[in-house]
Amino acid sequence: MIHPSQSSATATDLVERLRAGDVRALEELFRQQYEPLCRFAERYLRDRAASEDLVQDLFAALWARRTRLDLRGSLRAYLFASVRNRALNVRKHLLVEHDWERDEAAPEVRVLHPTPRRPDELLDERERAARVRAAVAQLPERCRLVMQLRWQEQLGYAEIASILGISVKGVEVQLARGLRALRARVRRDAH
Amino acid sequence: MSDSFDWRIIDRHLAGDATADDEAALREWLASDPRNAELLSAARAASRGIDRPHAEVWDVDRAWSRVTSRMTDQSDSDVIPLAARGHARTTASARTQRIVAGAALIVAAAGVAAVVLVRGALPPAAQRAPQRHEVAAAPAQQTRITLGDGTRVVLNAGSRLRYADAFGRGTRDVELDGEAYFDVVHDESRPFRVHARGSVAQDVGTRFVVRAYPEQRAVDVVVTHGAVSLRREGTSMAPALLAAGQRGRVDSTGAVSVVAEADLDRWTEWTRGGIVLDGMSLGDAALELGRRFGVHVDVRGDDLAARRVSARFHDEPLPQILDALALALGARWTRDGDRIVFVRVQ
Repeated sequence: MIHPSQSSATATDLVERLRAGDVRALEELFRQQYEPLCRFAERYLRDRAASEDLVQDLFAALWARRTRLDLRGSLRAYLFASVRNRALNVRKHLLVEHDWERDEAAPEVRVLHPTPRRPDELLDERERAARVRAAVAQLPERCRLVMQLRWQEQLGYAEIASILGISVKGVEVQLARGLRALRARVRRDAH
Repeated sequence: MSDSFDWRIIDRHLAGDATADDEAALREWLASDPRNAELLSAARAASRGIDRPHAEVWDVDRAWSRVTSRMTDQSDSDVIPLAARGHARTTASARTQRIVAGAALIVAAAGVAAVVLVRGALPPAAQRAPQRHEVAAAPAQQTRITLGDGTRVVLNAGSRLRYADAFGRGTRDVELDGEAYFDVVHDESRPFRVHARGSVAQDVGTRFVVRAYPEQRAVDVVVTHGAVSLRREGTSMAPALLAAGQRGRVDSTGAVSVVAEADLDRWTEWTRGGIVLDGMSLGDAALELGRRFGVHVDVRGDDLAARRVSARFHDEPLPQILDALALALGARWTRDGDRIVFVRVQ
């Protein structure tokens, strides 16, 4: 719907200008994508400064090899995938993307913040916010990554699949199971 | 889908891909059980990334200058030095620098926290520093910046902030078109001044919103912390004092009025992603929505455009907002790409 940065004509144009050595194209892209990419990097690195550093490096590298850029797919998917690769190189392990299987093997990690029941204050805004946070905290990291790319960055299934190196079906599974888990949690706690 | 729960509809809604049918089904589902709204907000929260207690501030200017300093490709002579950026955008800036006649307000700072001065015209170009940085929030965007002195600025959609290369050395001057929230770091030796549409705001450690979009006849200054004193420039009128919780307005004749602002949130709600239509005309609401969503909203008919609307939105997608307005006003809307047209239902 309204994704100004996603218009494919603009994206193709940006890539062309970038290849031609137009530094303003790089700056435009940087200003559009800096914040989302930093937010994404931060999921892996858990460190704000390191995340910003990573994204700045990525753009400097993008400029250095702009003439050799081979971009057939989505430019945004390429950037997010590059951030992920760099972040995983920094982290050196995949712990951050732990998935449903892992969590199901150790169900106790899903009850991170048990919410005390206080029926008289159920409508209390703070309590509701705490409940939402607790519901979110129970989700596996990979599920939250998919949700972020899909609902915050509004990327398509295929783009998300290529960024995270999973199948399109896998993206759907993460979203569907994630929503179901949130729903179960919200229903249980609201009683 | 009251209980059977079609996750794909929620998915399309959150990804901005929902059809009108989806939105209708979603509304029904939301109405069927209060816990469904909670599920929706949990899904939004999950997609938001790292949970932060405070607003995010990204200094994209400083980040970009770090990127340029890391660009190692020496063979390229076409790297434009950062200082030239201001010139690259002069066309766009000139277009947005509209002069509003008559608005003149000064917030003078004898023992008060902020000074706002609105002049009738922009300073002549020759007087302005040659090297300007410009930060813009495009339509459908908000930009958060931290200036070199630590002052935080949130720029609302369709607004621009400019400052000289020498910002922070001696003076702290910024120029604003549109709307911004300032959280100024106090430094007695270096006054902080906001020039808003030919205006100057001088600050000594306070938080306030300046709203000065071109379509407004008045300039509004709302103080959330600290204090501000206002007077019209070029007159000997005693300054009006704005305390925290008060709003000063300079109308098109230059008259200054001060009222207690019962609803401070209304003025800062946009920094948290909300949209507040507070009894403004549908024509003005159309401009506001246009900026916030990056679309063009047309209202057919003067009588319809003059209708007053009051509403608050948070996180609702544009079609839902338009539906709500249309329902309230007995109008309907159509959309063709980025262009939305409101017409009265015959």
